Amino acid sequence: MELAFSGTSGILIMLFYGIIMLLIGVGTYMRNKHVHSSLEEYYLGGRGLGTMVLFFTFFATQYSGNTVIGYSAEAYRVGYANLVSIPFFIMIILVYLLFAPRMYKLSKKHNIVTPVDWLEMKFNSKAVSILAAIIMLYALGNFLLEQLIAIGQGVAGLTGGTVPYQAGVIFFIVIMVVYGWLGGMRSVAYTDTMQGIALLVGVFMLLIGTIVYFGGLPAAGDYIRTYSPENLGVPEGGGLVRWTNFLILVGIGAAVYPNAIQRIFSAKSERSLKRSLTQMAWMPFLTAGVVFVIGILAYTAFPDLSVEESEQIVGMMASAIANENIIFYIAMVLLFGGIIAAIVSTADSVLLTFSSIVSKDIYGRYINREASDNKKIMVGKIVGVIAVAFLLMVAWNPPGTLYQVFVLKLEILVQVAPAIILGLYWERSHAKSVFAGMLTGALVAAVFTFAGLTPLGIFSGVWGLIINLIIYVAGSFAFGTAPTKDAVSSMDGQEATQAVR
Amino acid sequence: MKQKTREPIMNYRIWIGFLIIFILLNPWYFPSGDPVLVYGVPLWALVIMGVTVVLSLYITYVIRYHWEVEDEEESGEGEK
Repeated sequence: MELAFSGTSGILIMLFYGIIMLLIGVGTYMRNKHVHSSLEEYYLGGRGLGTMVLFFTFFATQYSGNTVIGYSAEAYRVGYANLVSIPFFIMIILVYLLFAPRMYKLSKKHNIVTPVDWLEMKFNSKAVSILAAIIMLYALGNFLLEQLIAIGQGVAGLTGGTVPYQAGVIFFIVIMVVYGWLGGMRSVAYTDTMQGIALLVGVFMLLIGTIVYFGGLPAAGDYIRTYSPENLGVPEGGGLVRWTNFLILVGIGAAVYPNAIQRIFSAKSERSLKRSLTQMAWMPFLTAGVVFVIGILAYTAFPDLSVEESEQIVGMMASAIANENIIFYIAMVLLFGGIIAAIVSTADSVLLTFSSIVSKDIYGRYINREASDNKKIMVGKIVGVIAVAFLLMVAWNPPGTLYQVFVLKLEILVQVAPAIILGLYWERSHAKSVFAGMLTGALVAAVFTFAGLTPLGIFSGVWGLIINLIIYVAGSFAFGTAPTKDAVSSMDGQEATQAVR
Repeated sequence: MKQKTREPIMNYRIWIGFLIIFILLNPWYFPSGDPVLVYGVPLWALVIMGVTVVLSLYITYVIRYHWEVEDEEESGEGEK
């Protein structure tokens, strides 16, 4: 596809965004040079993120460039049934309400740095901790791979292929690794702020351009009624089950992303956390909602695209709008820069969390307990870079047969949710049952995904979760004992029985 | 001043509210067939959006009034 702004201006905007990210990341590091002094400083920004930065880092972590490109295309293809993308992003905040208040409090009190720290403290079980760490690293790795591929496609699309896929990925990955390496969470969060703003501005300009040049929702409604009236219908049967599945799987799954949980730990105060989450509860209207409307409005402009063509819908609309006048030309260049920035901002937080689990939960807990924080951070960073290099090779040479191994993410990650959330409140939770549930749930989710099984229309991840919960709850009732006075999760100020470190 | 801690999860009434909203968030209660369009948007989609706004409002309310767990020395921290 030939874009109106491919070529030089695409390259310039890419360089511009890349350099801004680098400057913000490095600038943040210069102001906080003691960042490598402790795991908390590096991985959690010293637990000092205020409302605005915290909000944007939540925002940029949750919304990637895929949200814009993929969800618009999906809305174009399936129509109003894809409206579920707005409430499911809000469901994530609802799930936070289940655990964020207590999780925040405990993390501050017991110096928890990663979600696995919490599991270790709660269950004191090597099996649970290691399994959870493996599941998280695996899901994060695949999530990162998805972002790397998206960066490459975004850059190649933006520049109309002038900048090859590989060069685009390398350029942004090097920048991301450099600022993440130097400044840790602080650099990531501050660049997230810039990246989030870039995305919001771009998406809004696209919406305005679409309405001005292609017409609003009434016109789109007429077109859809003529070309694919089924896209206006209410989801029924399988469509309704799919809708409910999305609300549950995305709500729970996205809330327990370890990088999302670490943002709870990074809050400066309860007040900043509460404010950021309140703002996040409204963001889906401005992001997923706007993106959905763009997909619907695309009908007026391109009423009859094939599935493959519809994947390019954002690029096609941006290109058509950019041709109209210079202001929209600039706006659309900003949009594409914003999309790439949004992908980078999701990738950077995934990489940082990946490193933190390696530092704290693998190296620091089982390999070299005596290592200094500085050394643990270094090991986490190096392993993170090695993982990125490995994933880049996968991205460029996609395996022919086992590619599904690299697709599993949410389905398997959601299996740590019972341990993390139920573990907070249910004293009777029995470590071996938690482990058995998590392992069985993960295997069921993986096998069902590979085999393409969705019995009763229920997603593989939700099946895994149901079986996981049954084993967890039944096992804990049978073998678990409620601890006596100094339970770790008690809220009355008693000290933990287990030190985290 | 020592505040009484409040956690959303400990108040079952909050979750009855969420359950009702969740049930209404799934579009099972609309007639099938050709939907009524309001300014080009199906009526059922507008209703679902209305419920979605209620969900966000309710979350805002719960965060504001039913979440207070921080110790007193921490809650005094300034906001930037």
